[in-house]
Amino acid sequence: MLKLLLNEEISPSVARILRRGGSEIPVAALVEWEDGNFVGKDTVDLLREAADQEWTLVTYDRLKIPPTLKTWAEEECLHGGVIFVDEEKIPLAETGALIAALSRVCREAESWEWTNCALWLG
Amino acid sequence: MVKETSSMVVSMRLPMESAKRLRRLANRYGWTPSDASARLVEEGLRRTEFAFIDFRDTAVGRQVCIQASSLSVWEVIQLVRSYKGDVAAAAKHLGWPQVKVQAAVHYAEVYPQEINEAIADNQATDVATLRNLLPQTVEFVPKKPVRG
Repeated sequence: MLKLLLNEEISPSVARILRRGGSEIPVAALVEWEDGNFVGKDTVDLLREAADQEWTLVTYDRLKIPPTLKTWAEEECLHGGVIFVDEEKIPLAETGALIAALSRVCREAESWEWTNCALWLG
Repeated sequence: MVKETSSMVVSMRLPMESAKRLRRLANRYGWTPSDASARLVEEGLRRTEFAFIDFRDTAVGRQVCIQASSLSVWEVIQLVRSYKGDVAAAAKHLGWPQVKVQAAVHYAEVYPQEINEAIADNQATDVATLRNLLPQTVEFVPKKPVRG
């Protein structure tokens, strides 16, 4: 089942609004997930814990995260899936656009196999 | 991070154990002990000179970040630019005190090239680049326009 973990650059309000939207898909902001214990932690630790708990990370970070996932793929390590948001199409400040886009992902891709998935959301 | 074109030699006396630790650190990153000490001094100076600033290892090398946050300074600046320079709006977005966002802005004003390069590198990773790194990448384009 798809579970969305929103990285720290995404407003926690996005998680709150998506949860209120009536979808059964769990959505958490990083600042609240695991009592906020992964805020400020190494990205590798975050991805590892998300994989263990089968959460899919949503992020605008296309710089630091892809090299880690590449290394993991080459070492046959699994992750819980990552959704990369295209900032040019869905600007960080336009939280309404992100909510709409993620709502569609929840409706149309809920049943996908998310383990090791990399999705480009634009 | 250290890209000064001119430099001067400063000799310093280190305790033997510190010198060994410096050499081990340099070996870990593939730096010379001289490079390592220059980088550590520069990072220490910037930590001293800027509030809320820290440095962290990432998959793409050392990055300047905001204390008690997972975000690099360039990510905060990208957010501020998305809000057209409105620091208060960016702080509200993150649920941060405004002063932490302002700290990132001040750092970026002093080291604009470093921050702009990181933002450009992030933007350069388009869907084609991502597919090269992660062949399983799937593009999901919402059927309805999400803007406006």
